Amino acid sequence: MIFQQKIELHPDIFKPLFEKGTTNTHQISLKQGDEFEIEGKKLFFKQFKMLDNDPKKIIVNGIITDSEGKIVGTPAFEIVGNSSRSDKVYLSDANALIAMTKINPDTETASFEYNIVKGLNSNIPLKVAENSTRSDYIVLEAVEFPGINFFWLGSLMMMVGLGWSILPKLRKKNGRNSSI
Amino acid sequence: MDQIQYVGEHPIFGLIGHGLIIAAFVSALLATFSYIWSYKYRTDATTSNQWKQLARNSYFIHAFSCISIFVLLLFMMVNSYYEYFYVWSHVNDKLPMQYIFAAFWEGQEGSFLLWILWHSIIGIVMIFKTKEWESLTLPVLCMTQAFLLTMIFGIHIPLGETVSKIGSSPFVLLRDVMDAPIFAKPDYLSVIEGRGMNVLLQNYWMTIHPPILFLGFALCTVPFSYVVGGLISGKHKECLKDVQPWSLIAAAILGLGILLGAAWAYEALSFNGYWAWDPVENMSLVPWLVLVAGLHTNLIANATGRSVKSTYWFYALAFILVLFSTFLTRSGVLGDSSAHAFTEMGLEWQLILFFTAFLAFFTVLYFRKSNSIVDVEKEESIASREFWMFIGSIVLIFASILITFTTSIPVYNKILDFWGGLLNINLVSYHRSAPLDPISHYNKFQLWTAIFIAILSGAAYYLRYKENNFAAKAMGFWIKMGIFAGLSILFSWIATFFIQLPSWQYFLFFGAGLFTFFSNLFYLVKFFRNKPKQAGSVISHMGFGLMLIGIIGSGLNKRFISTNPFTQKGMIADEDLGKNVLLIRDAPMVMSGYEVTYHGDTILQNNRTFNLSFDKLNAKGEKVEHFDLKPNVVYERDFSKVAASNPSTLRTLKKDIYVHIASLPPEEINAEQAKEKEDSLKFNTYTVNSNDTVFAKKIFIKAGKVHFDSQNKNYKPEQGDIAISVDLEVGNMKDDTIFKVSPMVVLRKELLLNFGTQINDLSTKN
Repeated sequence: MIFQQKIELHPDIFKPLFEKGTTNTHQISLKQGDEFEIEGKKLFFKQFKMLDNDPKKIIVNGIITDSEGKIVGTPAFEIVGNSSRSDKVYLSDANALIAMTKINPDTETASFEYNIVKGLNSNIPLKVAENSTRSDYIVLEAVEFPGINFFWLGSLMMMVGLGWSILPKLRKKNGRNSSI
Repeated sequence: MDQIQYVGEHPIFGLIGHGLIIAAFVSALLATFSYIWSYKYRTDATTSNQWKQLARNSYFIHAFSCISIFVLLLFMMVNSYYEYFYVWSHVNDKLPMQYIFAAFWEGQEGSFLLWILWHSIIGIVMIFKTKEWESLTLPVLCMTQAFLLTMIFGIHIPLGETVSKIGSSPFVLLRDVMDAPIFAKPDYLSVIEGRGMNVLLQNYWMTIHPPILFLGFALCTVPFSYVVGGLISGKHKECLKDVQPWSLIAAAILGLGILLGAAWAYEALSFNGYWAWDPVENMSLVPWLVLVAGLHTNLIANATGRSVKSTYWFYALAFILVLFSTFLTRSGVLGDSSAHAFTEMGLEWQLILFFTAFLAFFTVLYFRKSNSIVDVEKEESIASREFWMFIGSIVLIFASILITFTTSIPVYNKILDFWGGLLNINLVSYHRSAPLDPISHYNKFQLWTAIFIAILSGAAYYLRYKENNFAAKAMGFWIKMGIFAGLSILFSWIATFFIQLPSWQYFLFFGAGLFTFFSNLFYLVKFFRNKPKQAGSVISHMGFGLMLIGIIGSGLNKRFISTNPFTQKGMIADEDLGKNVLLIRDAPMVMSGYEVTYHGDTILQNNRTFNLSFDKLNAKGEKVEHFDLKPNVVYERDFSKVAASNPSTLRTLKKDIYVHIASLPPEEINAEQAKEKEDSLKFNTYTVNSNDTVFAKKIFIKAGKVHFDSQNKNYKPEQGDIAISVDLEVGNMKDDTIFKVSPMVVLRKELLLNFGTQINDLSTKN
């Protein structure tokens, strides 16, 4: 059996983001090690972590853990030139979409914004096509040409020889003067 | 529309261009007639010199005008003056500047200009080098220039309901060629961009191959000019002595141009080799073969006084065949039969006139003047060098006739259609068909040409001109021939252990190549050891021998290594099993002693490059050698379809390994097929909770975490995007295969971007 499927996320997956109440944005400012609570779930802003794998931009992750110290999300704050960007992270246990919007390394504080988004983990809509053909292949033609350098060398020698043959003719011509 | 005051146009350059074309044409005619008068009054030195001075001045104006046309058009292309049709057609803002010259001679007008430019420069050299031949040779060159300049005139003459066209000017305005509503806008230039150069031709070969080839074509005019001069003056001996260096350089440059074309075909185009007997290739080879035949009869004429007439004809035919080749490749007559001929531009009658005028002129001149050629009455000995050199030249001419005959089949059909139209009779049933397999058709005949030429060029060196006592040297001659033949047979036999020589004809072909190589090598060592300047001809003949050996090696022994019929059966069409393999990304495939893996691809502008790794396996299946190859495909500018597949080659001393992409998934070949595939997909919608499982018809899906950060490598985040991806584990219900995937969907303002996931099982066989 040929096992080939195409799986997409249905656009309805965005629905919970636009449900009534989910667009209310909450703001919170936290210091490293601070505890905070969303929808009754206790969380900790453990620390900043600066990533240094891209010299063109500064990326700082805010590490958020649960009460047992398990990392539940790492919202990123990215600075490129004069502009900044924040990635939202979904904290599934707290039903919240959280982003780190500002950082202050001097005071070791960060500003966060979050929305309560219920139902994102349930009824995830998927589109599945089970008649899709694969597309991760190429058809290759490979040919071995033995001795091809004889061809190139030989044909080049033919042309060089023709050019070379001019040398004695030029010498003779320079020494002669005919009249028409 | 004439009332509109257009913004941003540069009409002055077009006017200057047209003016320069007229100046070049008029000065070419003036130079022609002044040179003719200069020769006519040759007995009156003062008058003759006055005419010659006028002719020279005219020629310098002509050359200056031609060079200025070239520079002006180049300037317009560099500065993207899109109001001109030629500039718009061949340049756009994305064209890398290194291809500006290639774009220049991509079109008919530009390539004619390249030819005109070379003629202009050659003419200046001729003025200083041809000395006493100047007044006889320059008129021919000037008339050729005048004809070529008419090709870029761009004059339209109304004839009843039709419009007759003389040439196609590179200085015509876009709005004069196209009728589009945009030209109602005075500032239309601010919203248009050039159509630009064909992406297939954007490579360095296109920059170097045409100039060399056209220089070769232009140099073919010089021997013809001398021949005309020789016939008019009756100074045949002097003519044939002085023309020889020009013929040699013409043959060397034209040959090099053809060779560069072969190298381009091998390296960049998927011709699957260096020579495909394409009509355009053929019609550049034929003038070269005829020119080489002329060179050999020229040598005979210089040494013995024989073959003067044949030399004249061969040099004249070489030039006329260049013009015929121009007609074939530029009239559109080869449109269906050649991959790289120009399309029809309405210049076919002008091109016919071009070559028939020169053919008629030479024929009339020859029959009026050739009675001054004195035939050598005494018959040459069959054991003389000139006899066998002449036979060799005839063989070359015979080969040229065979090639031209088949290549011209579309012309015969056009002639039939023309007469059918005149007589109102349908003559389509009399059409001849071009060979279905041109390579084997031409090889079948040309194999024997090569064998004859190789044997003759190996043996003729050991014969003497004007031989009258061969019997005294016969023993020495035959001993040498016997030794060379013996060595050739021995080495051919040894070669059969390494390459295939499946029939006696190929054995003979290979042996003939070795024979001429050994024979000329011996001659080089024995006679030219201390006279290297005179060794040109033996080097050429040794090269010819090596070339034949290379043809057998790389042509007859060419081997498709992309074959694994057992594994591939069912994956590709049966007829391709012997030459193609289907490679699935990251799944190694064994083929003909190599393990090949396709690792993915990268896209840069219109080029999509595929990363392939090769591991050579020994008899035990161990990897003994590793190399990587990167063939690519070029997409059209709008990515609507694949325009070309370019090979990648591993070069080693003993052999080349050449790979190219024979096919891709249909949806990656063109946009229409991609849409068809997308439309044909039958999607069912399922819902699943995180950490829960849902069952489809053949598979089950377990959902994991939901992410709001970018998980997909093809996704480039933008400010304001909302991107959601979900970790999924997808399993086949009939076995234990589990795939981990993360489809993603992005909301970008009102736009929805879906990064679906294709799951492909590796066990593709039923």
